[in-house]
Amino acid sequence: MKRRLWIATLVVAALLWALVVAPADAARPEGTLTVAVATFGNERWLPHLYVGAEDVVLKPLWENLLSRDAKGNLIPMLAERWEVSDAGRTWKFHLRKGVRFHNGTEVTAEDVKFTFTSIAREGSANSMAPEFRTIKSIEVEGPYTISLRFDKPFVTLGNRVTHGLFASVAYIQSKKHIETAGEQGAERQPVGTGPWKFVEHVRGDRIVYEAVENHWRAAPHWKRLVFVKVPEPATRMAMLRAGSADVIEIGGEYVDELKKVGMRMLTMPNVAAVWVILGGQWPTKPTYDPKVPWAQPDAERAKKVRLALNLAVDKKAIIERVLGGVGTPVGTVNYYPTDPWISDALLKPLPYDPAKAKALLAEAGYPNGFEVTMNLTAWPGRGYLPDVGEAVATYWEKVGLKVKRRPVDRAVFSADFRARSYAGVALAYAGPIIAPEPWELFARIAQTKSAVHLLVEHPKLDAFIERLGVEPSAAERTRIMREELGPWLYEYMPAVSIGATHSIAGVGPKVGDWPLIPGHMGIHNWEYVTRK
Amino acid sequence: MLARSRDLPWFPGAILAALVVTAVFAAYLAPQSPTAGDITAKLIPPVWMERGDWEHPLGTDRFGRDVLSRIIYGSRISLLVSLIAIGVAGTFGTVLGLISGYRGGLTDVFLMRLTDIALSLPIILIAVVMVAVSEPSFRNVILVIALLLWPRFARQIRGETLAVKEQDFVALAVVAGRSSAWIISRHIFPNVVPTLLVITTLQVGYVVLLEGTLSFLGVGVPPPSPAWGLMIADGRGFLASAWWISLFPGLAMLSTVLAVNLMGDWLRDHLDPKLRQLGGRAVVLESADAVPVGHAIQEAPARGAAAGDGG
Amino acid sequence: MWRYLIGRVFQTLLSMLVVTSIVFVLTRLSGNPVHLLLDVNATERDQEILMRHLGLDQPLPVQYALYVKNIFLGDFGNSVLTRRPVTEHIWERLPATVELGFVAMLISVLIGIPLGIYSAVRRGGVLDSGARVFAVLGQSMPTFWLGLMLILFFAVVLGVVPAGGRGGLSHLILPAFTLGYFTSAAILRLTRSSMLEVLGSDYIKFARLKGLHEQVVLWRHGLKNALLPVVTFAVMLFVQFLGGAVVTETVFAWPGLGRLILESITTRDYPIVQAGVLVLSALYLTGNLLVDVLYSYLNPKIRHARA
Repeated sequence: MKRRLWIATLVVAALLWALVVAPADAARPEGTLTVAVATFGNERWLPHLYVGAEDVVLKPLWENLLSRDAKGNLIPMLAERWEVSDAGRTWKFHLRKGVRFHNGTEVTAEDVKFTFTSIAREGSANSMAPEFRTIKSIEVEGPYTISLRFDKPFVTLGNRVTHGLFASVAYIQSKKHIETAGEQGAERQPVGTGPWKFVEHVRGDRIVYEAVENHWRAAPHWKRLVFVKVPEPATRMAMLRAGSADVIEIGGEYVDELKKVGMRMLTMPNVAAVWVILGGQWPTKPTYDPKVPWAQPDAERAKKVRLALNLAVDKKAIIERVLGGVGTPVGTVNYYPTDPWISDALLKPLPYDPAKAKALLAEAGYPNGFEVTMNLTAWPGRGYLPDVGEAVATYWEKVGLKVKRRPVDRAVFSADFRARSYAGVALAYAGPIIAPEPWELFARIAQTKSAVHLLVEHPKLDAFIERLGVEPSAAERTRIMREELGPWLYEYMPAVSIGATHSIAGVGPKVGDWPLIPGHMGIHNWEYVTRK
Repeated sequence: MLARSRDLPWFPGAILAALVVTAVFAAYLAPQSPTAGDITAKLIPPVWMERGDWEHPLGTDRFGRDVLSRIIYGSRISLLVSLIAIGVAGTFGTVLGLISGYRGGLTDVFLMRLTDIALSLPIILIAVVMVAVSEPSFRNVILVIALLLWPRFARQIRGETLAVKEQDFVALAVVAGRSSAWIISRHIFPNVVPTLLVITTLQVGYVVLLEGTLSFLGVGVPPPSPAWGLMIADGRGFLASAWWISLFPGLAMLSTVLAVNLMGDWLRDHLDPKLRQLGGRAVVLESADAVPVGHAIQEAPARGAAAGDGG
Repeated sequence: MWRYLIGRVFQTLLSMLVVTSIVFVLTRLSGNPVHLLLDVNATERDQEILMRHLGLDQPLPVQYALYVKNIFLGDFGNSVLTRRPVTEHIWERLPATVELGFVAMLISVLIGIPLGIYSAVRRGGVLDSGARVFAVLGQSMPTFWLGLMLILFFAVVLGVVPAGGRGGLSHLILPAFTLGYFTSAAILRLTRSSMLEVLGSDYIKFARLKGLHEQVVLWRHGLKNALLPVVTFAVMLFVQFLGGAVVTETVFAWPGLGRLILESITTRDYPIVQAGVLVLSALYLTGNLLVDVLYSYLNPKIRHARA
């Protein structure tokens, strides 16, 4: 009798186990997700050593103070709440308790201070170093509380410490780990708080991560995440088709090919604004050349030329044909169709009117066109730029310009770029959405005092940027951008604005869907990728 | 030894003639412009497929440019680049080879070491570095290829010079007090001409492949030129949806090089009876004393093993 | 014999030095890596610090002298990108290139030698013509195009092999064949002509006169002699494959040395480019040297001439 009771208990226990515990086991991560990307950037793992192009492959390992929700608002991540005071001069973050690095130590304010100080240090390669250097002081007010103080109001600091950014390289790193293992050690065996832990890094070839069990925020569905570096998009395409890669970074030119081979496409909408830079619009610099047609001292004639260059280009066709339809033509440079500060007037691109363009050129004194060089240069993650440049060059040729194509490596061009010595040269560029508000990008690349300039040096533009930089009210900033900055940009027309483009990825049959953070240019949220 | 009519290289000859005609009369033969594309007409398939169009018999590429026209104009590029590069390299290499072979001694050792060094450089990589210094252009491609090609000429001509040098009429000329320059130009050079001809023809194929490879890697002829290598590179990512962009230029390149190689073979077989009998190895083995055999073996398939790849 | 040997070794070393100097100068002319390592908004100060750290702030002759000195000490410097020793990177990628080169050579030899032999023996027959067509096609085909077509057919359309990357045997087939096809043609022609020459030689005629069985004539006497140049050529080929199957590695995303150098050129990682090209040249020159020595030792004619 007792024996039968035992057996019954065992059977019931087994049933209970099968019903309760085993299904939980089935939710354990399994399988390897292989992602083919174009570049690993510098392949560095310390805050002052990575630039930002590494973002996609570094994201699994680390986390930021804040993140973004589906509507684009800032939400907590490692910081559970934050306060902005003194018109944006002080930012106070309260950290979540109990979050641990992969080596077991808890995340404290000291780690945040250490990370931010690293980013700002002298010789830092980090793309955010200039912003972090404006921090006047970092005060650790407790193990989980930290305050950043600035001299001038930094109204949008939140955008610099969020997980949902292109090149959000303010990942919080472990002070203890870097100090104990040393920089070399920390580079060989990096440690973070993300849902993936570091396994292996073969330089120039692959980076391997493994899912962290019992992570505070997310439970990956895949056991292993492997990034392989494959610079040629054609090869990535072939790998996706053959099944050697499950997700690939790919450009809009491949939309048709993806459809043809029956692969899905993941879209990250409105993550870059494409425009053709008209180099030379820097009248105060020694490299200014007054003979450049679109930058000449006679403002009226220069404007006519710029207008002609715009009318000569069929922006809709470029977005649809060259970029595979993954984008929207926009009339105002660096404005996106989903922005709160967009209006119909600002959105509408100039019409395609080559006849009028020719007439305008003649009016401006160039009845037989003029010579221009079109640089064909690719930027990381934006390999379609040479194609856009080629297409624009062909359009300009149709209205009589003589366009010399110059395929030039970024490395070779960067010296010219920084020295502003490319007057009279045009090139296609895509400004990534490093922050939601357009003036934040302009602050980097469109001020007279900026290190590189991608628009036009103009006191009015400088004034706008300064004003917006210290305006604490978001509503007021929106108004300025919609009613003042936008119209001025549209009217002045410093560039040939093509429009807003999306980023796409090719997805294979083994991979399910997953949520994305809006405005994020690189593929991300690997911990939420589902399995099919 | 007169060639019998059925021995004549009809097949390669015809292709080469067609090539030259195409290159010269490209403007009349090509239905469209090779560079003026219309992106609303992009990726049209060849005429025998659905959506195909007689206006674009071989289809269009990503920028709406006509593939057939580009192939036709591309023949010009392949021809010009190879002829000019070979001209430059051949002249330079032959002169060097003649001097080196005739004078011997330290000059010879020095020049041969120079050739060694030049040959030991991994061709493709050096070309990439050289173009990285400047930028891709027609002139640079020719320069780069010529710079990497001359050692092949130098080496072979030197070998020939050494063989010819041993002949009696040379000794007689020396005794008669003729200057080196006179001997080289009057006696040596005319005798190396057959070999020179053979090498030149064989190198054309190699150079076409090399230019194609460099353009494919983006360090050759710059866009929007319709260089065949560039066209193949352009179509790389679209093998499934637009295979015609890469396929046809590749066939063009293949046919050209094939014809040139077959022609070169024929020339070699018919110009030098010694060579003909042994399929080209006699030069190699008989001058074993003169030329370190390792190198000779290395050069044996005169096209060079490195032609298609790294180098 | 020994004087010759030492002389050649010395010349080889000198050649290597010249090669590396050429690459040194060329790479430094091609642009500053600092701009690629830093963000566009990096200050002048940041650039200075980085350049000092990388040793790029010194005048060119000083950099060169330091570089040469370090080579003799076996120090090839650190990668500009990763700051790790260059030798580490090269060792990391060398196995992949060696693997590819070895299998490619194997394929070349396995295709080229038998076809070459049959072609020579059955001279003028259908097989001979077929083999010669195969050979001349192989030497006329652009490798990168062949690679792409093979990917299209076998990986994309048929799906029987992966499209790129390194892994097991299935990853190796297409790139090794692409690389090996071209040289199999060369080996085929060399084998054929070498066999023809040997078969037509007095030695063989004498063996036939002696009444030896045709098979014995062929295999024991003919083949051995015929294959000697082929084998040395195959070894040279292997060395050349190591040298830079750059294009094949690119088309198939094979993580080898050639591709490493190519990428390092793009990122202006001078130390890797310099050391990489030096390694490749050294392999070529050393291979040459070995073959020369081997051949002159083995070939009695030359050995006696030198003695």
